[in-house]
Amino acid sequence: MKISLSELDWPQFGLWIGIIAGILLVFLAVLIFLAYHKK
Amino acid sequence: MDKKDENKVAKAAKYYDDTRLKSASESSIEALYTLYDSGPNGLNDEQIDVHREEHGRNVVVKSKKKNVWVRFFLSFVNPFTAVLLVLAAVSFLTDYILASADKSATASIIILVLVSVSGTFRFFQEEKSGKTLEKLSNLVETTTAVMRGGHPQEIPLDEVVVGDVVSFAVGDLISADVRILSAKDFFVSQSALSGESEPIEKTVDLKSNLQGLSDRSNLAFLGSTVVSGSAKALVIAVGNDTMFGAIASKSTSQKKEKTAFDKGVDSVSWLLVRFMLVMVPAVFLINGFTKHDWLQAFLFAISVAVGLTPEMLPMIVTSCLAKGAITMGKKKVIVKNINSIQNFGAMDVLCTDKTGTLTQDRVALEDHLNINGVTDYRVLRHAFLNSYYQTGLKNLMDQSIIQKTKELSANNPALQGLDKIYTKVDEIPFDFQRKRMSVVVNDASGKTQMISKGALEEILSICTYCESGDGVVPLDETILKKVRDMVADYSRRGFRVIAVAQKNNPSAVGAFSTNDEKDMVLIGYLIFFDPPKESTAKALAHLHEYGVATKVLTGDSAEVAEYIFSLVGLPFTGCLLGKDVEAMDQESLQIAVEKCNLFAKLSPEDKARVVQALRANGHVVGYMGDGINDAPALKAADIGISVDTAVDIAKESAHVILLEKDLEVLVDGIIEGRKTYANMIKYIKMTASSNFGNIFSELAAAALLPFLPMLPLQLLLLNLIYDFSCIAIPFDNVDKEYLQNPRKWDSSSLGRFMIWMGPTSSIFDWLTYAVMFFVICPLCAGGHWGDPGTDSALFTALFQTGWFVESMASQSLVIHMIRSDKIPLFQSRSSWQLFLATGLAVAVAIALPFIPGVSSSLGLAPLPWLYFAYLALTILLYMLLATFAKNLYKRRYGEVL
Repeated sequence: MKISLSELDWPQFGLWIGIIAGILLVFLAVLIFLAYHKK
Repeated sequence: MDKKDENKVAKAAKYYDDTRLKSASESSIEALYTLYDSGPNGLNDEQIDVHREEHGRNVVVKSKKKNVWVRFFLSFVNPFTAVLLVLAAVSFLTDYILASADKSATASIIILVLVSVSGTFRFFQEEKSGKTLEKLSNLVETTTAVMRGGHPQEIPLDEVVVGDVVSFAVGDLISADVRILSAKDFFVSQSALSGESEPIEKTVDLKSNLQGLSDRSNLAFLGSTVVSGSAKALVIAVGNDTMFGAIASKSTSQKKEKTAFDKGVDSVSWLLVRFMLVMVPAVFLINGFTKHDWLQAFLFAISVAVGLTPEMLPMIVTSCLAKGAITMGKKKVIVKNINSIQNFGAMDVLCTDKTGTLTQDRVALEDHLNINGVTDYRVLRHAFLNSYYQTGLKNLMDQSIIQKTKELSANNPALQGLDKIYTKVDEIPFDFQRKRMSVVVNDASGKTQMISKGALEEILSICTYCESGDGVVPLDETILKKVRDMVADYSRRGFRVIAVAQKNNPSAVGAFSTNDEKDMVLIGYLIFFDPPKESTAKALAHLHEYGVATKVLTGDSAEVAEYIFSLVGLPFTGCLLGKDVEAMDQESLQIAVEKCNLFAKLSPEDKARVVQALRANGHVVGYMGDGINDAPALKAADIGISVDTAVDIAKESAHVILLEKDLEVLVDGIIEGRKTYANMIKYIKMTASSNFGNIFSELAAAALLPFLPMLPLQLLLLNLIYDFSCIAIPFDNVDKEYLQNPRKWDSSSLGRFMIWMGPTSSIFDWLTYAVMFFVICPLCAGGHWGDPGTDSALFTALFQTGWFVESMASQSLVIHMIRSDKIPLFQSRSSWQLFLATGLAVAVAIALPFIPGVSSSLGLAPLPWLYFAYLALTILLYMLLATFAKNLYKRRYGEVL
């Protein structure tokens, strides 16, 4: 490792992980809704 | 035949050198014997060799098979290779020719190796499939009756030579272009040649008013089939010298009718192509504007296009079908048309003839009765003369009559030496309109008599008298009722009844015709029994278990068939007779065919109508039969099934030939068809959904990343390795439950599967982007992207390698999660071949960055241990999420595949 873990841009990383997690949750919510609300 | 085909045929016929046939039609038979060094006794061995040497073998080569090198070259012609070659050229230009220092052609060489490996593999795979299918189809042989050295014999069609004297009976294929030597009510269908479906009479004499070669009455042509009557003929032309050969070799492309599955596969391809057409320009423009390297952006866009092109789809489909055909071949089911396999799996109604499929095909003559119901050898003697002297196809009943007479003749002088006492004068062959056959014989005293036998009603319709104990008496209503009651009683007990009639001194030789079939004397009946096979009940129960309804279509009486139903445990739901079918319009027939499962007293056309009505109701219909009367229905069905021992026309009309006439073999075929379908749909759904997911990943990367998420070459390599791992899909296991129901192509399920499963993989791709960009790459490259101390080349290479490996692992391993409705590994396991192939694909992707030389040429960089810890975790999460999404999908739509 050329730099230490503390030098990483954790806030930016956290932001993106949050965005991805949000998309995942929305996606899953849609799937669950569709699965349990059949036409 | 459509307009285009008609033009092609007309063109071929125009250029066809018909001099030989025209001259044969106009010459006398003696002159032809001299010209072709033949005679009434046929050819001898020496002549056969000479004629074969001079005129060739009787094989029609439809289109010349391409040279092996041309075939090898063509395996490389696809968009995938084209893009790789462009990449190789660009790479050679930038890394070698234009490079000022450190010239390296390694990348170009690697690309060329990729091209060679993929093309060569494709070539061998296609050669192997082709050869296996050819070998399988050779197992089914069509033969023809020929006179050689004075002895009649059956030889394979391709061994017929010019000068052979051949015989034809009902149901035969005309084996070459021939000149008729003798004929009796000989009608042939030339539809394969002229598109004309009406049978044409062929005679010894040339009739005037000639329109064209095919209208010449004393010539018959290869590809025609005998509809009725019998004939002897001299072979004039064989193989490509025949009219059929000329047409076949002229037509360069043979149009295949597309099945529902073909159309489905096409729709998948087009769907992906449409995605590509939107995606590629978007990716190109976004990358070009954000990264300002238009060449790389262009190459990346092209690689994305290649990645989305399902270039392996045709090969996987062929490979699945070929594998299915081989497995079915081992189970004695020969697939003539490889596409029929998917219809096998989709079949939900099996229509079958009764004789030989439900029954033992061992029709035994149980009794021979006069009209009073008493055993009478006179009835048997007349039946023998009819069966023995008729020259058409000797069916099981004829064989049984001859056999029984021979057995009984030892103790019964009245049955001895019949073939010596009587000589044949003439005959009227069987046809499906009259449903009877007649022969005329005379004895030493000069007495001439006509003997007819056939279905009861058809014989009664030509009888005005009957032979009772009091001699010949008029056939009045009382006797008719007695006769019908007795026959109905036998039928109800499962016996087949054939009536025999006779009359003395019919018309003179030559003038004898169907008009003579009147005012005959009914002399008695023959009682046959054809017991059901022991395996039938079990096989029918199996078919029912696998969701296939069985319907029996027979020319026999309803009573006999009903009796067989009761013996084999088939629940009887209703019966429709031939006359009912004929009286119904299409709409009412479509309703009736759903209710009934027995169709009796059917003509060949009725059988075809019933099959068509079932198909119109949306069923995928299989038809199993082996007789001439089954040919139209075999053609009308989605899948025509016949047996090796069937008449030529039935074998020719069928898509599948069983080497054993057993319904149980059919169940194996159905299972194999469904397995093949399951594996194909597995590949299509998984590839389509992962490609759909990649679209989101690549769009996000193009918009957000300062560099390409993967090099064009890496993207192509990923695609290649993935495609290789998919080659094991045809060998994968299929869940037992999946095989329980007929599988019909449903394109609506593909779209929703793509939308449901695709984004799941994108989410993990984005996660990988974030982890690589913010954690792993900065840690290894010495800083964040854009920072002064950061090794940006290493940063990019690491990022691209990280996505390369994650993409490969997720794409390959998810196969195990969504290949079945069940819980992966615990409830349903992939085949070892699929485990091995996907494992190898992931291993190769992981290993490549660590191979010195190769790694740098591909722009990859060795990944740190931290990455692998992340990879293990992310793949595990992805598998769990994919399984969860799959279960939700199953909950909504009932099943995954």
